[in-house]
Amino acid sequence: MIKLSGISKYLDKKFQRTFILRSIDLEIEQGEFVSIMGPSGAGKSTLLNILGFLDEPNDGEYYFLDEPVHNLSERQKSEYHKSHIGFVFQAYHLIDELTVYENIEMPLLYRKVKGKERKSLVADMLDKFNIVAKKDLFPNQLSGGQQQVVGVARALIGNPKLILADEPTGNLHSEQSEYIMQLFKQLNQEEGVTIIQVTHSDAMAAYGNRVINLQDGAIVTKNPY
Amino acid sequence: MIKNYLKIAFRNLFKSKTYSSINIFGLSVGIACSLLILLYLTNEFSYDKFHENSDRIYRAWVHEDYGDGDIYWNTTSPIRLKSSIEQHIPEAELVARRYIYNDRVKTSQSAESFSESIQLVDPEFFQMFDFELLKGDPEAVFSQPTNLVLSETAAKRYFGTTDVLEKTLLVKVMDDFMPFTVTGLIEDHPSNSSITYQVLIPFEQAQKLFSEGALNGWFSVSPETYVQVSQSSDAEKTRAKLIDMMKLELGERWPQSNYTVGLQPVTDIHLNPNVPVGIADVSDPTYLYILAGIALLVLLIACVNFMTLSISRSTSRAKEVGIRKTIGAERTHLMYQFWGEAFLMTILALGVGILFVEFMLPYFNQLSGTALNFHLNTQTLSLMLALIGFISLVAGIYPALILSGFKPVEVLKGRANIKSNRSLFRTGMVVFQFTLSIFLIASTLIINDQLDFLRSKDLGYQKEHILVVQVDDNPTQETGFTGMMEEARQRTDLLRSQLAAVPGVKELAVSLHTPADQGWMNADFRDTNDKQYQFNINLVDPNYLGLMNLKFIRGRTFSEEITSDLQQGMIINQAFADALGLEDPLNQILPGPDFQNHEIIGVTDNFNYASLRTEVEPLAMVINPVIIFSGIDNIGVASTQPKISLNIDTENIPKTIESIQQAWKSISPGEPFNYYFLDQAVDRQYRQEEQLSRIVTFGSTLAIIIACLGLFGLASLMVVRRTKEIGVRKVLGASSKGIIILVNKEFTRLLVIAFALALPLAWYAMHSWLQNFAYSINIGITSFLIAGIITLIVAWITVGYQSFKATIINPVDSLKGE
Repeated sequence: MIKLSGISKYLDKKFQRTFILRSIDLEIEQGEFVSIMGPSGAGKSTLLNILGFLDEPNDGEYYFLDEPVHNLSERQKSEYHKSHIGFVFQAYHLIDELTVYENIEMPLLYRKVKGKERKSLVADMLDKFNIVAKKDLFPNQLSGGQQQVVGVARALIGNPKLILADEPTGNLHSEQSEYIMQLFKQLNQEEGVTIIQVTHSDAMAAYGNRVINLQDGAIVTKNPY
Repeated sequence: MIKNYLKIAFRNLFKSKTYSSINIFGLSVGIACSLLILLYLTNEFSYDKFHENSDRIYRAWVHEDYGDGDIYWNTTSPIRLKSSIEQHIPEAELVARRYIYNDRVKTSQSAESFSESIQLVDPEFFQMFDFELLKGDPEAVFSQPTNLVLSETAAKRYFGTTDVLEKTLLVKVMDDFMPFTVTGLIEDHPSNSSITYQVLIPFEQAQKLFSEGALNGWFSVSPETYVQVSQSSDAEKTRAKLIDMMKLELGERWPQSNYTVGLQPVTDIHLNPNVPVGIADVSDPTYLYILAGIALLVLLIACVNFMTLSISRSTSRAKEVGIRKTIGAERTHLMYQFWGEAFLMTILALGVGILFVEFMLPYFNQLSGTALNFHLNTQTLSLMLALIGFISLVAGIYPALILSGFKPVEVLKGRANIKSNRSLFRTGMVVFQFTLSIFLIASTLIINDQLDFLRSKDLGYQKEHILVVQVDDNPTQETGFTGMMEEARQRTDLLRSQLAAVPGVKELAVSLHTPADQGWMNADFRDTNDKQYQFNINLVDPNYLGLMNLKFIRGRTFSEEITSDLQQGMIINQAFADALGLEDPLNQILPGPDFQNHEIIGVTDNFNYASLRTEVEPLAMVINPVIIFSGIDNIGVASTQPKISLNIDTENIPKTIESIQQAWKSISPGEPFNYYFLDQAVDRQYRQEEQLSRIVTFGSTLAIIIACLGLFGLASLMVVRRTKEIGVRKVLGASSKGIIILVNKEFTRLLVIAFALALPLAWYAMHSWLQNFAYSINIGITSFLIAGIITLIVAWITVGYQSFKATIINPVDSLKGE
């Protein structure tokens, strides 16, 4: 599903080039649950952003479903965002002015889904995550764990093939974290959704079936912790 | 989708109430201001367009050119022009003249008469113009020379009803009251008509009013002549025919005067300052442009507010942009969204703005001297649509174009490297707003300074406590000016004896003109070397100069004891002496060859008998006008009604006026008692400047209020953004004072830049305006400094309040969020 070869990302400052990612080669198959680990500044988030088309590498090639990403136009990228990729953020990133229902509904609006279908899709999602009672609340009326559940629901409503999660449990306490991870695991196993998450925690990484360790922008084999 | 946008727009609106209300209030004031001024402008530009054939109706002008710049151009024309056009110009369908004179009118029942402007018109007047005849037959209202048409207002004034057909009104034509039969009732002229009227009588009556020479000559211009041409006419051909017509009429005399007749479109009259003024009302378009400029400035400041505030809020909106983009929004989606929000805000502002318009309209009418109404019709609706379009486009341009371009990675991580150029833009906007504010405030101050100067300058004569009574009299053919002045003087003597017992009246005297009169009697003559001299004339009685307390540089005033003064005496002002090139004009005479025996007995200083816009022009004052009339080539006469000036005591003025009125009634029964105070008349000369001053004051007040609202919003958002910084500084030991200074410093720097930009702009604008005056103040730095300081203080208070609020937050609270 994903094939990176020689991906590099660096910043040029006057006389010095600082590498964030160094020549990353990576293949991820459909249906995998991958955890990217590494210390702060290792380049985890940058890698994730590149995988999600939010950032562009300076060097190297990226094939998504055998399609060369470096040749995609902005429009095509946003098509993929609509149909193939869902994002989950550490800070949840819900829109504060919209209710739970409306936040979950939003991706469907950009996809021009008809009103009736939209309603049933959102209802399914609310049902699936047990948040029907919360549908008219605003994000600031929810706990962090509940907000992240909404975040996950929003990422899933477009029925994506790939979920990219940047420290999804970073702001949550352990019980909430476990719940979110169980959710991911369930999605991965029962619905075959590919999941790539960035995490600091071994416990969270354990939910996945593969770990990629990053250190100073390069993939290393041993656990750096 | 639209529903979702609307939802988010509304929730944003309610979430940040301060921000929204500042925005909506500022915009609505801007909208109200521009709506008012647009209403005014459309009214000005709609003048005379309501006539069905307005594109085919023209006013004739006549132009004489004797070479050497000796040019006479008039929009009043010879009386005989109508018959010549009818004879020679086949495409002229209708020709109508109008002439106005002021005289008295009364009903047969009442003994008292009223001053009225009486208008002579041809019967074609009622066919050419679309003034509706409410009663009477438009074809036959003037079938008799003694028929008369009344406007609705005039009908109610004289008869208390509009049921006036067949009633009789007595109108003074020359020396006698003549009975006229009312045969028509005409609607009051619309407010946007240059042609106004009250009482209309047939033009045939001109036979009684004008001399043979004026009736048949080509060189005496009195009425306006309007021509309606046929649809198929060709302007170029008509022009040529008019020239041929004049060549034919004047024969071999034509080359001397190069006499041409031309046509000015009727719709051009109101706003074209290049064509001389005739009888029709005109307005000065310069002040319209200033007005429109101020409206645009206020609107721009309000739009800039909207922009700066949305820039400041972009940090929080940026996150939304990032989220929306990661879930598949395209840039165009976001542009629609942000423009939609600006649109919504504008619509709300428009609603509030309309309320403001309703509220401010009476005040605005007072400012501009109009009677505008605000109705929802297609015209105002399209105006409003245009405003909404303009504002939402301009105000929404920043969020729509810049915010929508944010990269999700950057904004979601909170590291927006667009920050530096964004703050440059915001800084630019703040500077722009304050430049305009300082510009307007400084202009207001300078205009007011000049007005004060105009009002308080020593004019060289006494203007306080002088009551002027108009004598309602015209010179007759038999008596002329001498007789008229003589009559007025006899009446003054009568009045003086009547008023001898009234303690309030100190002195009284007669003159043809008093200072501040519009248009003085003026004349010119050539000396033996063919050098031309132009001067103004005042006919006075021996007491007048003393009453006015004029200062003499040489010689003396008139004396009743010296008989030669009454017959031959002449007093000139210094400007005339300078023009004549006479070192010592005493006992000299004017250098023209034909003047009767006369003698200059005194020279006054250059007192400002006209407005301070013009330099003092040469002036001659005589008791016996014949000594001047005998020697001059041309004369211009604006008013023939003498005036009696009374110097009265300051005590108990109403009672004194009452006594004067009693005395007036007994010596001039049936004649209206029209009076005014000289100092008020002098001030009235500057009415236009006062109007300008009020409008600019109004505009600058609005501008500074809106700009400060914007600053308030900006400061509050900035303080929110810097709460953490302020918290850290406090923890490290900064005092509240230090922090307030820190925040204010940023804005102060911007104000200094704005001041530096506004200074030359305001100086240039005011300098050009002051060129209108021969006597004006020097622009000092004080006005600018005051404008700068006012702005600075208002800005400090606005920002200081916000920063003070920030400093009293406990740093523990402000830092916890991180």
